Amino acid sequence: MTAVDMAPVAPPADMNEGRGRFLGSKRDYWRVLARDTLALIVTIGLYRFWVSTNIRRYLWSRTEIAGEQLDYTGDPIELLIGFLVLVVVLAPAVLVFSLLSWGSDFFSAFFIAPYLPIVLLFPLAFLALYQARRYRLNHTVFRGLRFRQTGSAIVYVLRGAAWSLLVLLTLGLAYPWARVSLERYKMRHTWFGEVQGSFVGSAWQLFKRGLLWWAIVWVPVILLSSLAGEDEESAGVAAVLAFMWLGLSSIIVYPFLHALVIRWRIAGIRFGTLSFEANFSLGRFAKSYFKFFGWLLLLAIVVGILAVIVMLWIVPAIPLGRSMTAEVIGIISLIIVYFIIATLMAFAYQATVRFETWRLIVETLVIRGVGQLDSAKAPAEPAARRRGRVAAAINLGGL
Amino acid sequence: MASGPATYLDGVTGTPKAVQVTLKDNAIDIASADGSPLARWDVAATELLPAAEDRLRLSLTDGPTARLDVRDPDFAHALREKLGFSIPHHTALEKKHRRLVIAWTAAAAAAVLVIGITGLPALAGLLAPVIPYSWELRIGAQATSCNSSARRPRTSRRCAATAAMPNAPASRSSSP
Repeated sequence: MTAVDMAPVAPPADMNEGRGRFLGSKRDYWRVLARDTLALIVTIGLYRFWVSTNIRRYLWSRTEIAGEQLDYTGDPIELLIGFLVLVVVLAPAVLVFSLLSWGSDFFSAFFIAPYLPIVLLFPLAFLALYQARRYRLNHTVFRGLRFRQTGSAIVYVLRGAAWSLLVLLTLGLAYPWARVSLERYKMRHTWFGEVQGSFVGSAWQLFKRGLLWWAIVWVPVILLSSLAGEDEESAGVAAVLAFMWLGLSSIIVYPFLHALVIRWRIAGIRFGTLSFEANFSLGRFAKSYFKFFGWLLLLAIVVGILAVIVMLWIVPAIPLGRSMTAEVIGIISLIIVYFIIATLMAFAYQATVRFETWRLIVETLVIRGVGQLDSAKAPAEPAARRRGRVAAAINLGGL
Repeated sequence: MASGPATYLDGVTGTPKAVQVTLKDNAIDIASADGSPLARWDVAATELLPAAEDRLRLSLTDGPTARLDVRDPDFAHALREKLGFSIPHHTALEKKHRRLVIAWTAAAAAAVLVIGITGLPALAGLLAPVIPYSWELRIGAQATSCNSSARRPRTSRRCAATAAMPNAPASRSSSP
């Protein structure tokens, strides 16, 4: 047998390689967002399940991967039910904790008791992320086949919590290993039809690429704390400077780091012989974040000016005095203002980071081993469509 | 009778098939390039899916994840007209939902107001006899400490935490 005979017969590179294409436009996307904004404010946020469904329908249906579009089949009513179930579960828990800390000496002896619901929110966030991913995948159809996620959310929560603790203790240096562990778990439990996914990204590679960004944030902080003198005053100044640097540099570094991690994650995904690559520029990815920050700054300035005008001129001019009615009107106005601001912030995020990073990733996406998609088959048993309702409602996480 | 090219995904394998689509007798006939029939969809059982402009994407309302994708803009337009799908199925539903959600929110807000104004005082009257005396004292002590600390802004933040501590001054008075 000659060397030529032994070489695998690979299909031509161009036949087995596909590209991503984004078929939407910013104008249409903004129209989808703007249409629902008023409904979102009027319904004090309850309409968000319809908004997030509309956004997903739009993004999925305008995304073409190797010549075929994605379909999102999620139902906002399911998300709403999931949210209501969560409220039904959480509300009594909060009530019980409050009653116990009021009523029992034993329970309130633990100083943590009043904060327990907040502490519980942390693992709940991991649970929600996993379940939300399950919901999105189970409702994503590509080439007539459904994606699905199996695995246990509880195991993911335990892994996530343990790794987070380690990441916190190492000031973020353990992050690449945490990411690999979590991505492996997620991808091992991700299926396209009956093709099982996997994750092959290397933690060392991410560590080497991210180290510079990590150093930009932490080295000055470590130096400042070591340079601080013995006396309280200089230690105080150093602490303030360190915190200021930590905040400012995080804002600048985070978008680049996020871009780096996303690029690395995409390159690590496998479905059989199918692999991906999205070599977008980190700067273009980060730009969408800076646009978002600009919007937030603008919003803060406008809200600040309006607040001054209202407090100085409008409130004193209202002839209500300090009555019950005035207080009720005040509270209702504050709630409405809060929802308007929250809605505008969410709008700004969706219009900048969500849309632009999605488009950038799709447009730079290269898919290798497309033949794997052709040979994929639907699993014998139908996917559990309705799983993952509860936490999907919290709607955490992006892609 | 309208006929044209499309891509068919049968929901069983991931292979897109180039097909010929024919609309006749309120059904969509899907045939492979050589003319052999692949599927027949009843128009009443199909729905329009969101897709890029100038494209038409159909699926079955209740069943597998099969898809029919028409990319020829003229044929997509003609088929859309003949099927009577002016807007995707979910858009029509959404308008109804939006009105319903707004109405339900208004009802919920009204319910919260009613409960706050009349329901809670009534409930308090019912609950008061069953709450242990020591609990009442603790709740009272917490309320007092919150009230007094609210006037002193520096301590108000710690109000809830202080009240919950067993050795805090506010809770000491709790033993009858």
